[in-house]
Amino acid sequence: MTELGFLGVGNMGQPMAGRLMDGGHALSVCDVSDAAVAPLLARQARRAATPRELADACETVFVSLPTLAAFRAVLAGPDGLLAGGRMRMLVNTCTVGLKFIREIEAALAPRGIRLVDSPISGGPVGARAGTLSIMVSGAPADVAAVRPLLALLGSTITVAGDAPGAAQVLKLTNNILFAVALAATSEAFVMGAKGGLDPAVMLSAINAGSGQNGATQVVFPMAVLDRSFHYGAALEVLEKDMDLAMELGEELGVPMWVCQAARLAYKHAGFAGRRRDDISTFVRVIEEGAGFAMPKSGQAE
Amino acid sequence: MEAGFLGVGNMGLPMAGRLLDGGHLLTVHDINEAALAPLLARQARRAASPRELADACEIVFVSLPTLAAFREVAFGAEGLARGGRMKLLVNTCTVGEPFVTELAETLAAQGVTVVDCPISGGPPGARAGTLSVMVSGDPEAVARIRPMIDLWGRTVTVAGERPGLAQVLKLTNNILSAVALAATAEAFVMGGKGGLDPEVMLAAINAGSGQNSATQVKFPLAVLTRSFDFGAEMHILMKDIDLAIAQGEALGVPMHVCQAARLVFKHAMFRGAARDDLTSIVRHVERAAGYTLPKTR
Repeated sequence: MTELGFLGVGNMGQPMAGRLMDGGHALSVCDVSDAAVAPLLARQARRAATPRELADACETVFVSLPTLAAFRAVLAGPDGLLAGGRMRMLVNTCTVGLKFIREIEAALAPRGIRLVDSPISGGPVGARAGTLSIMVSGAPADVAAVRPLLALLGSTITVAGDAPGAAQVLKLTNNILFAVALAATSEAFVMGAKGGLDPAVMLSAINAGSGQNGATQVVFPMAVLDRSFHYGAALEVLEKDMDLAMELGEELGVPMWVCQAARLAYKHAGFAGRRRDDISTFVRVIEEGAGFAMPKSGQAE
Repeated sequence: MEAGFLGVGNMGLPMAGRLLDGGHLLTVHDINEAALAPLLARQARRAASPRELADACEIVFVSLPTLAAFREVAFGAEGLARGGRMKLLVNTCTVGEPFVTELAETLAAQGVTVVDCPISGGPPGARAGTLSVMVSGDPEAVARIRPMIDLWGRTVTVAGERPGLAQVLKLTNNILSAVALAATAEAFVMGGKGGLDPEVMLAAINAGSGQNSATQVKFPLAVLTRSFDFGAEMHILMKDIDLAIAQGEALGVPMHVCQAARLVFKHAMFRGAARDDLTSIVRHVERAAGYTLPKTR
């Protein structure tokens, strides 16, 4: 089987790369962090020293990076992906927004490199379990070509459209709902707990009721109630998603008051120096504002 | 067991029906005679006033849409408080902690125990017996009504031993439900106007981290069908949001996102949406965006 390239093996990339290896694919990996590549190298993945080296070795390259700036940095320049000679297909798994996808497309097209837009949802937990929700868009033949690989990463593959970019719109629609849910759940839980409720009792009732969402189902039980704050994604990622979604909403002329409020809440956390903190720590922002910290709480039945 | 049921509207009717299904005997009261008919046809007895209901039954369930309506049936001239037999009042309404505390203190003076028992899940959940039931109050009183409230849902959560705590729990749930509905309306209009098929959005989001009760239930049931018939009017949700925000402000908890959702619904209410189905909030976002989501089912 042809060797696949994987650029960026962080919180999301590492388990996704692992799933591709589980599926029997040989992998070349590239990441600035030695620690991040180590577990994959132990499984016989090869390490490319630069993005260019990766694109010199592999026809198909997956990219998983946390920020637009990081993505821009690995594309251009003498050591960038675009300088490599063998890459024919770039599979973008990042949430980078519609504009940036157009920008990458324009850079890839003259070199005959195809782009499949394939952002993912489900967090590090879903990535490890291979249960990510995968949104994909691109030329149908290209999507068909990478589909067996995507099937190793997630149980749900949704084709958003037949051009790169549609999957970004879909992903942002999903992510702003998650970001709003996390912010509102933080507010609501601090209110309830300060009002005398046991957080574990709140969680079980809300998850059985109409208040349930992605935060009450996953983030709170996993990282907030036990005060471990180790969901595995940084607040800067949410801030980026919110920025991209609001940019899209404003471009389209859709009023988004609730989403804007959540964006401001995350901006505020970012300004306070919390960008690298786990997203589950957003609840601490609310706790500080309320002068109340939720107690550590076990799981209710 | 025998009990009284006051208020058999969108929620009360199916909830009373579940009690009859479970073999309990009911006496019912509602100002709307037509609402009573399906229960009377099933051998429920009718009380002419709240007072008569409280004269006939030891246990009285109350399901009313507004705090004003509750105040009248509780403390009015023909109110429950004047009845002679009632020993236990079970409040299933979302009326906020201050009112439940007031109700419990006032009725305690005449030997009536209040159990706070708000529910979540809407009319479809009430019909299917899949409500989320939240309860707080004296443990003995809660134990006594348990065989009845267990008929409403698979999940009964004990919020604490003080009436009012279940209100806090319910408001925590409902404010999240309201935020989810408003944000989902915004996000779907954005995605739809951005070229996505709403069905594709729904499938991907429900498999992803963006899922919530609006994407799981309200949108497939009442928005993508363009039927806007979830079965609850916007003013009910508005009341819950107002109560939740009042609770949050009383406790001193910053709630920027919840406040934004409140303003979105307030704005729709100012435009006359009070009696519209709560899912019609989508239409308000659509109008402002100059775009309408297509009917896909």
